Amino acid sequence: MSSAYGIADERLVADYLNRLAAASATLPADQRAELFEEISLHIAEARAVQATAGAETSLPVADVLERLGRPEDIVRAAADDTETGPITPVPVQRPPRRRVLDTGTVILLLVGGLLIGLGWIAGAVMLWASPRWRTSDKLLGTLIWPGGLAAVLAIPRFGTGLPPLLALSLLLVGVAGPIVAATRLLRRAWRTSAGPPADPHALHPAR
Amino acid sequence: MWCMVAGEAGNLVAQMRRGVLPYCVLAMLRNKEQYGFELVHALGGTDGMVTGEGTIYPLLARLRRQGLVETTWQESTTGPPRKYYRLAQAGQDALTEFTESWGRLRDSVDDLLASSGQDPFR
Repeated sequence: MSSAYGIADERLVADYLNRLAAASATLPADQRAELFEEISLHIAEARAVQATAGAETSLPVADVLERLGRPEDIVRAAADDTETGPITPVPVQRPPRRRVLDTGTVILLLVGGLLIGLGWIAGAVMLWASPRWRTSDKLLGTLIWPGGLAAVLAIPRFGTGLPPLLALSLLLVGVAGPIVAATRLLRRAWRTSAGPPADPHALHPAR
Repeated sequence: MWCMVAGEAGNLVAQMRRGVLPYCVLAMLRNKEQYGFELVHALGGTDGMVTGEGTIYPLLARLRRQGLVETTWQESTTGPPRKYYRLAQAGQDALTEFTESWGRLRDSVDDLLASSGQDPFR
């Protein structure tokens, strides 16, 4: 084989891989990298076979690339799960224990201060230790309000001189705040523990 | 819904092939682990099972993400390192289940086709 033949091969492969890289830009990074690696290995394997078996019994590079198919089609197969058939994926099961843990954390934050003196602190520790919530949620749960519903108990103690209307408003806000925060925390937790979203294509096979 | 117009049977068959292809891959791994290049060529040999050979790789990656197959790397003296695929337990279970379902479906369809005397899938 002349070196010119080798250079033409390199050019074909490089063009093909460039097309693959461009077409796969929309894929998640890890899938894209894996696909690129696999296709590159496939081509390398084909060429190794050609080197050992000889040009007569193995495919020229152009044919190998043709049989691989268009990079755009390969990427489409990667992007569209229905392309290769409806296998039910192994569901990502969050263990039920986590839901109990999450709910318990929120309850402690809400009423822990009322029932058991240090309950709110325990709830706050669990909140910050939990992977379930983002930092913004955790700040919400901690700052509104420290002590949870128990915070309203502070109003009569420190607000004896307040006009009744103001005291009542404070009471309402004091109660509403933690309840709203708790609801938000629970909604977040239950949404993220529900597992992967249903495949919107599952009921509508691509034509 | 699929529209059954005469002449579109070819498209339906293509869709059916795509549907069973993952299980065919699992079946090929039943007896021994194989690397991508091997699998691709074995499938390519089976009449019309794949469009482009390259589309097998996304399928293999998906099977791995779903826990149906596992991969290991092995060095090769004659070429690049090889990523070997083997059936995981979940894959074995899926394959067993599919084999039963497929057998039942195949038998029912064959019976219907035989009794009606026509073959709309050709």
